[in-house]
Amino acid sequence: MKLLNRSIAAVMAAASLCTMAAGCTEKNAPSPTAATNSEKPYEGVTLHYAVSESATQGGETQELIELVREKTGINIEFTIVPNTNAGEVDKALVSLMAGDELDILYGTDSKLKSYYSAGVLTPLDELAVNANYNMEEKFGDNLAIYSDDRVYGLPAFSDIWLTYYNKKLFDEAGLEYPSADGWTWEKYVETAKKLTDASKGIYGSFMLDYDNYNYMYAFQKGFKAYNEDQTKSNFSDPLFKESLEWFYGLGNKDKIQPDSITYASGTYPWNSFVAGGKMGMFVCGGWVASMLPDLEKYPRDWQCGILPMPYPEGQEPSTLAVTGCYAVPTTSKNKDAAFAAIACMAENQYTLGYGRIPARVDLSDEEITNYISEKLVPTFANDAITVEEFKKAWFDPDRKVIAEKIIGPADTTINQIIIEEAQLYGAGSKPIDEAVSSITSRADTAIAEETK
Amino acid sequence: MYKKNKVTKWIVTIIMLVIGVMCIYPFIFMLSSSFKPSGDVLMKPFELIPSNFTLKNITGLFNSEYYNFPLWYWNTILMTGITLLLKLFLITLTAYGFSKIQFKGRDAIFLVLLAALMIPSDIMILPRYIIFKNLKLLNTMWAIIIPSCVDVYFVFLLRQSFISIPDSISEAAKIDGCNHFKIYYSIIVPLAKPAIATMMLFSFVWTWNDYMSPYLYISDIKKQMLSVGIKLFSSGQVQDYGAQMAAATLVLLPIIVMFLFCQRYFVEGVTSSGVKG
Amino acid sequence: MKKGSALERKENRTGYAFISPYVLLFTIFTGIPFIFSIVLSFTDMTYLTKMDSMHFVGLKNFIEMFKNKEVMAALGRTGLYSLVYVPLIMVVGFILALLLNKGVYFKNTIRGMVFLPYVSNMVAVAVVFKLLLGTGGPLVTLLGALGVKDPPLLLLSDKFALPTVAAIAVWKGVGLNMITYLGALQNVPAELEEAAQIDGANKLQRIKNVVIPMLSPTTFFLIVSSIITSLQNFTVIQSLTDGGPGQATTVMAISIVRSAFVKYQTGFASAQAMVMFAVVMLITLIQWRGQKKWVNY
Repeated sequence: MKLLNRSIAAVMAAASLCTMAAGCTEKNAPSPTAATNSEKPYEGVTLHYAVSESATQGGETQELIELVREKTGINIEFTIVPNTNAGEVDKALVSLMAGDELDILYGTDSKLKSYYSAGVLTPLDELAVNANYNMEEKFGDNLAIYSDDRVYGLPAFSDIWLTYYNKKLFDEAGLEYPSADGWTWEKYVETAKKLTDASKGIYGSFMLDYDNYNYMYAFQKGFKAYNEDQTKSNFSDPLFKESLEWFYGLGNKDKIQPDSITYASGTYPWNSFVAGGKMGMFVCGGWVASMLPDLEKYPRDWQCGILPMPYPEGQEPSTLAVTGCYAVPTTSKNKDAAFAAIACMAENQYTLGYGRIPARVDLSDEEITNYISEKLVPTFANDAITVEEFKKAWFDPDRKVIAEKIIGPADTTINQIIIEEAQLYGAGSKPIDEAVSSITSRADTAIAEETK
Repeated sequence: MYKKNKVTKWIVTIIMLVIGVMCIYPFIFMLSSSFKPSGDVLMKPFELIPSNFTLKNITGLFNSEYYNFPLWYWNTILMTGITLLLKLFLITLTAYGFSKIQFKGRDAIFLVLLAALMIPSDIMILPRYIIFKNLKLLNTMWAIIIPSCVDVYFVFLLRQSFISIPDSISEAAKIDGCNHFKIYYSIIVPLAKPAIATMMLFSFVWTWNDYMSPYLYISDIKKQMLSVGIKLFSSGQVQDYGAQMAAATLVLLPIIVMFLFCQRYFVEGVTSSGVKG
Repeated sequence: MKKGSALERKENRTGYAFISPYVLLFTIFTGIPFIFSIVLSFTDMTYLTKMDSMHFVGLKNFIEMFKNKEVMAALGRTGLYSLVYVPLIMVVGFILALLLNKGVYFKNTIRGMVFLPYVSNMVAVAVVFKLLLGTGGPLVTLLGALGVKDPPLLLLSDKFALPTVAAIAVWKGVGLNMITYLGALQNVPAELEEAAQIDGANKLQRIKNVVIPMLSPTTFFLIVSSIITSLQNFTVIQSLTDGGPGQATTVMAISIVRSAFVKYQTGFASAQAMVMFAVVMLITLIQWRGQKKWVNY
């Protein structure tokens, strides 16, 4: 094995020789100023943050680095990395694997997992000890922890799923706006049926073709995608089958939302809820809310209401969520400073007021109420969403939070398999049992392949 | 006879125009969407003339706080220009070598080059990245220019085109004492103008639109190319179709100009002896 | 004898001088990465950073690939796709070039129109085709009006999705074939055509006996390159069907990309790429041998 490694090394060395590469003489990161300020030990340090374009677009990221500069004295420079399209190699990953220096990285916890697998993330536990910082106390379960039980990411915000509804369509149908308490799927379906009016092209409900719509209902009923020791998938669980039948039934049987063939043929694009004004309710991630204040790009003449995500009757209220985290790559030359910067970012990003839901577990009720009334309510002034409604939808401490996607061995492959097979079932070209068994066996193969 | 020809020609013209309209439909969609708010782009039924007409998508490109669209435009023009110049020289020279000079191992070497066309390019991303890094070419336009210059595709095209120029012409020149280089630039290249125009047109299109190379090899936003730049504009957390289509339209304009420019080489070949078909 | 070999040597030197700049650059930027990939296909490499734990696994990747039903199905689909794509784009490209060379009025405008799909934004193309072929779209309505029962949704049907995607790829790519042929047509000496005309050959005969042989080097180029293009169909398929419905349009290009960038099985992805490479290379070599029979140099 050594021999092979050596031969590959030789090929690569030959490459470098042929190309007459000069030795790398990278400049070391600037050292902290001589007079160390105990408040700001990293004053004057410059760090590089691999940021995606969507992050640079609004003022949020700019304000965030200003905030870091103010609080820690650290300068942050952007390395802008375009979002990865389906089927493209992840540029940030390639660049990190090739050893390019970067200090800060952002990603959802599931996205950071691929960086973790590639071994390019620094475990934060020691850095936290050095900095005398209690991560557990600030972020609780929201920390990004992977299979070696170490912390790799500090969460800055949660994207919590919601029910969005079109108030105008409720008015026209003569229905009262639903209440957040006891907002179950059963009520959702019942309401959607009343809203649906095929003659006017109005659907009471709208959902997309994401992988997780297929299994969210099962998740809310306690379904686990893997067995105990994560060596096999668990899709033969009747809950999963029930979930598929339930979800596709909404379009195929109940006809309260476009059926999956109609959806796949592009008649109702993903932005139909905000764009067309013909969809009564929309269950989706919290990011949809970011389209609401932008009336220039999404002009509409109606107000949008928000409710928590519905849950199956008889179960405890729950919702899907995903967290956005900051991490420190292994190529960083100043990891302690990078940790100070990401801790500052994760703690404070929500205070900038871009409709973020903090991922902190140490905030008091008062702090939350202040945040909502000072930041969230003005942002969504056009839709007149109240403090109470925000609290119920996004800040309900009693609501169970479920990771929005399957996370575990071979997760991306499994999600792809689910999309492929469930699509066939949804379109009526594969019976449910066949679809489920083929998901199970393909997923098992994928797990075996990855853990081998 | 003459009249009958004219009628056929008109019939063919009309059929071709219908086909042509089918071809430009997505273009019309793109153009029209450039003037719509993002939310209206996918609305049904499709509106040819936007009812919520807006110029914001286009003005947005030029007034961005964070991005410098004109700078990217300039970077791309410079990069594409250098690529085309280098290619014009390098590819024609190489193709001449592979078609008009009899040297040992010629066809074998050519087949090896040809093989490179068939390698799925995705698997070369990692090794190339490392080579560029070692050569300090990362984050420079050369990381885009050089791979595009060693494109085997057009060496093949031009080789085929040079081969079909009868050897008798160059033999005569050789007897007159011309060396290969002279034959290359004074006889073969001028005669192969239509094929070279084809190469220039498609090289332009490919280099101008190349997304993967700048995406991978350029990190500095000030050195970035248009193809990546427009993606930065149009894909926030929520895909912005209006901006995307507006940017795509502006990116397409130089290609159309290039096409019109190359057009004349497809009618001015060696056949221009004034004979009607 | 001696003189001849001196001349030969000079010819050799000149030849190498003409090609060496190109070959040098080629070796560095394509040759070395290629050799690297070949080596990788015999390893269980995952991430570049995990090179230390990489193992040489011999032919295991290849054996696994041939045992893997999904990859084999993808290979079969790639073959089917090429069987639709290559003949279609060759014939359509040739006919378009012939007609648009001299056979129409407003030829510059029409050429431009036919070329436009080649440079149209793929997002726009995908949106338009999905709507044209989808439920309630013009095609379905038309077929319904013509009395077809249950008109198929071409992009969403297990049976039709693959040929439909191939046909759309032809529509989008045919501009290149057309322009290349147009360029080559300009090199058909008018005298030859005239001579045939005087001989009393009609148009079809002239095309068959004069134009097609004259264009054969270009045709050879286009066949080889279209086969290669037919394998590089990732973008088209990704944006139109994402490999679906089910796996109906999951071809090798998609399979390789998913192995490489989703599962990070770099070694396995390289092995798949090598098999693809070997198949195309074989086809090309056969054509290379066969070209003497029909290509007119």
